[in-house]
Amino acid sequence: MSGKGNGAGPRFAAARQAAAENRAQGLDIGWTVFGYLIAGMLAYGAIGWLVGRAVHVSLLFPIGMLVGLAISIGFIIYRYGRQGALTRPSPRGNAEGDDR
Amino acid sequence: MTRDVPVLASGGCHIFGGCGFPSPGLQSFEFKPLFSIGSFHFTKPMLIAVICALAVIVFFWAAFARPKLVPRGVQNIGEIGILLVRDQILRPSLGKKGDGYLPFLTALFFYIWLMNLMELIPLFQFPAMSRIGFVWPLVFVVYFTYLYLGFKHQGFPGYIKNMIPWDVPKPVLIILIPIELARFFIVQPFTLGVRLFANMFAGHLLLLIFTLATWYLASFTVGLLFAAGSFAMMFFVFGLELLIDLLQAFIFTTLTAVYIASSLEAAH
Amino acid sequence: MSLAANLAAGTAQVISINAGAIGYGLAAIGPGIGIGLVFGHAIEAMARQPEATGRISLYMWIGFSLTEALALIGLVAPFIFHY
Repeated sequence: MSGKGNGAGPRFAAARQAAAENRAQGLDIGWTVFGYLIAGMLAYGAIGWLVGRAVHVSLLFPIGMLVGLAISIGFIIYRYGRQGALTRPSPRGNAEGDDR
Repeated sequence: MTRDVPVLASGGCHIFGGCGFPSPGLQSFEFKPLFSIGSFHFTKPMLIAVICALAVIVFFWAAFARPKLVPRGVQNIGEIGILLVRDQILRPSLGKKGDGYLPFLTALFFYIWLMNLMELIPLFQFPAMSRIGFVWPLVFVVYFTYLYLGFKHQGFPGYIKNMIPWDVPKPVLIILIPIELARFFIVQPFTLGVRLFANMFAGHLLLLIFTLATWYLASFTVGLLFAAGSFAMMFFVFGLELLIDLLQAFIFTTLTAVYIASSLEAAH
Repeated sequence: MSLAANLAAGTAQVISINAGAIGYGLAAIGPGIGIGLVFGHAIEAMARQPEATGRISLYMWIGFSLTEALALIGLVAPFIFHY
């Protein structure tokens, strides 16, 4: 079975482990970013819709969605767009990141 | 045949059948019940779900009922399956101490994978996860599992507090709270379920379109060329669906492991 | 009615009912290509220089969120024009 391929032997266990961790982390970050985008639109769309019903301006619903979109983009850039964002633990009060 | 049968493919009528064809649509996902008890209708997707559950249970029971140190027979294959889930899905997110969750994740992974594969197995040929009713129970199980674990390990206020980014200026924090809460409590489980559902729905629809087109476009006109093209596409879509079935089961289980891991993280 | 007239009327009706869906479908073409480009180039850059992975993923997420925003605005547009 010497022709099985380069990545399957026991010597590469650490590399495979690191690759699997990167994959899990990548999946997590990817879908979290997408979730922030949708959640921003959802939350502020709902707020805009409720406020719109109160003041009878129904245009506030799509405006709320756009505002929420902008806020979540801003937050994504803030949270994931700085140096060391990937190694910093998820937002806690005393988070410290290391700089790459 | 179906509710509306638009007269498409009217370039020429079929070699064997008449004109028109049953267009694949939402009605293709509804089934007449196999039998009914009162108003409880037992349909084909339910049968597929029951068969998949039984198959997974029987397989792992046969493999690990009397496990031996040197594996024999079915235990070999069972061990490959479990090690695959442990090394590729569980260890990257949860680490060694998360091994207690291995049975849960293994069952989840193989159940979803087998249910997805039913799309391609003759006689069944329906991915039960393309009916969203089959997806939500799994999502609820995962959702309440990681919520319960989060509250148990971090306490009720602690869990909420750890979601909110504190290192932003105060007014920005007020703006961010609804987004963070919406993302965590609503969007995350929703996208977990809808991702699986939409992939299976679209895949089944694609297969339907190309198989129906192959048959119903086969008239003695230029339609024969289209039928041949559809036939070729069928193979590509089949391969694509094999890949997507495995990928979607993998992604669902990996994200479950990641969410459980983030629940178990005690407050720093 | 003739087949062509039937088809035309049916198509117009379907389009007017589903204008939002068609609008989103068209709006998602550009961001789909854009996101593919963002991630493709990011992967290539990470493969060329693995030690820069952190900095590259930084810009990758910024690029992704801005590109995806256009597709999501396409989702919001039918609501705006409905009101």
